[in-house]
Amino acid sequence: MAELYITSQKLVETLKIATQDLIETEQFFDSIQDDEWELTEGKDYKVVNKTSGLREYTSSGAYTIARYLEATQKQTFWQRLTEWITHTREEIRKAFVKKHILDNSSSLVKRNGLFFVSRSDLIAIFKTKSVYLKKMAEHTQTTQYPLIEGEDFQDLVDEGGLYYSLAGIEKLSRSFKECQSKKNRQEWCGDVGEVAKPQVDAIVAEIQNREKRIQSAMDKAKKRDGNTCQVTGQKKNHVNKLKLAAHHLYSQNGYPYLADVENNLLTLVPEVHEQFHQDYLGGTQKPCTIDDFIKFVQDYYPSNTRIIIWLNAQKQVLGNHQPTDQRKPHVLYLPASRVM
Amino acid sequence: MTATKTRPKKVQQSTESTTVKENMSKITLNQLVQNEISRLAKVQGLDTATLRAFAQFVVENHKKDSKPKPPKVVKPEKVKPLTLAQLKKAIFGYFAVKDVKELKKSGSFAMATSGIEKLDFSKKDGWEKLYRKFIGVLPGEENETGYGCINGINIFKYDLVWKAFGLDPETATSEDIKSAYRELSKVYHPDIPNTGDAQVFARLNVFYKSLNQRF
Repeated sequence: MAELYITSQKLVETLKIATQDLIETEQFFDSIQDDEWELTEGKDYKVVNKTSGLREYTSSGAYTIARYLEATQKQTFWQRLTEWITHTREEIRKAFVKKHILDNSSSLVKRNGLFFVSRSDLIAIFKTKSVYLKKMAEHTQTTQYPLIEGEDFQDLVDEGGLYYSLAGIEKLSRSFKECQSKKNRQEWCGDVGEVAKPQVDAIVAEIQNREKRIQSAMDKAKKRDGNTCQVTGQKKNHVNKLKLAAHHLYSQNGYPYLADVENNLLTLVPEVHEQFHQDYLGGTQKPCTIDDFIKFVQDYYPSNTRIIIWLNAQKQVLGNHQPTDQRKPHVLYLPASRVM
Repeated sequence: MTATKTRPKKVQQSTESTTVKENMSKITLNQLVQNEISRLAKVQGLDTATLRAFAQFVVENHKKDSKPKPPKVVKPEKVKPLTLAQLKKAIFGYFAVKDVKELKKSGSFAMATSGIEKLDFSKKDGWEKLYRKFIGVLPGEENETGYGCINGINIFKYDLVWKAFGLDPETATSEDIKSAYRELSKVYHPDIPNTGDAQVFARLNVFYKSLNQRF
């Protein structure tokens, strides 16, 4: 793990001392060279502001200060600092685990009110191997409270295999923690059983927000276009009650991260929208790009030069993108219906 | 020798008549009964004293319950339920927390309970549910009998699969699991008259599938 730095402000807060105490301690350390009390730049601290001399301390530097304060003021500075460092290291470790869950839970699905992830995602989350996960599951089955079908795991035929619920992951996490011999592995697997639920909650909230953001971007795009089809010029009014579509120039399925970007949306009448997706591309499920639409307009509506120019301008704004792997989309781009 | 042999008999007779006399002195037979004794003695050629003794016995005991006394039921020792503090202590220990505040914040607790209904921490019932789910059998619920209880465990309250199947997880083979399931199916399969039950059987199926799963 990278070196942990504690800011001067945080050190003051952690040790519960006045800022002046820290300044005086630093001055004391700097005043007498080669005595018992030494702080070495690079090893014990780094200067973050050369003008003011503001420092950030490494754990060794922070411990040296705590030790000095304890010796001179007879208080429990050492313990306070140890608690802070332990807690911070734990938080950092958990942040890594959370990120790992975020990158390896594209299978997330809600069934019967429970969240499940696939066995293959769980292998990645625990940073383990298939055979070892099997071993841990089998070990759990020999305990008083084994994994229960429907509660802790489920064979989701439509999803193609075995899935584990959060409660099941918690049970497995206990088995991993019990059976691992290396401390770092015990910590990692234990943390999975601690952070997966809050992380899944955060992911689900983000997925739901994304749906709202997409709808909002669509509404804004229609308003921007004056509720008018940008290809045919047909306008919605209270008589024709035209139902307009907001077309994703880079399709939602291929480029999910652009789905809530207003510049990626264009107002069309349903006929043109369908003509492009069904007739021109050959199906709504096929991913499309802005280039596809430019070509479509040039082929079928060549006289509409205004929209061709606008589209080319948007192409510059949006840039070139590579489609994501639709077989394994990132969890954040899962349809909300999957986790509701 | 003979004299000594007969003497005790006489003493015994004397004792018996004394007892009758004593009893008679307690209960006075009315004239109607005395007349009937005399009549019966005369007609049937019975001993008056015997009839009198019998009449005394009847008068004395006719109201008493003639049914044999049921054997004394040894009341089972009253099981002391766990106190709220004891329940909490067990749960806090399992989730490595100090108090309710920490428990509510615990990610592991949130995960483990993600499948169960929201718990009311102010009631003992909620803590008992947690105890059953994570710690073990509550005192007084061991060897339970009644609906849903198999091998002494209520399968609707507990996930204690091994206990319900009557198996030892350390030694049981897949064949043992299959055999235990088959035996239980013979009792609880919905098609079995009298003992068959769809809900119990469904739960047993879940237990069996859980132990039979190839992970």
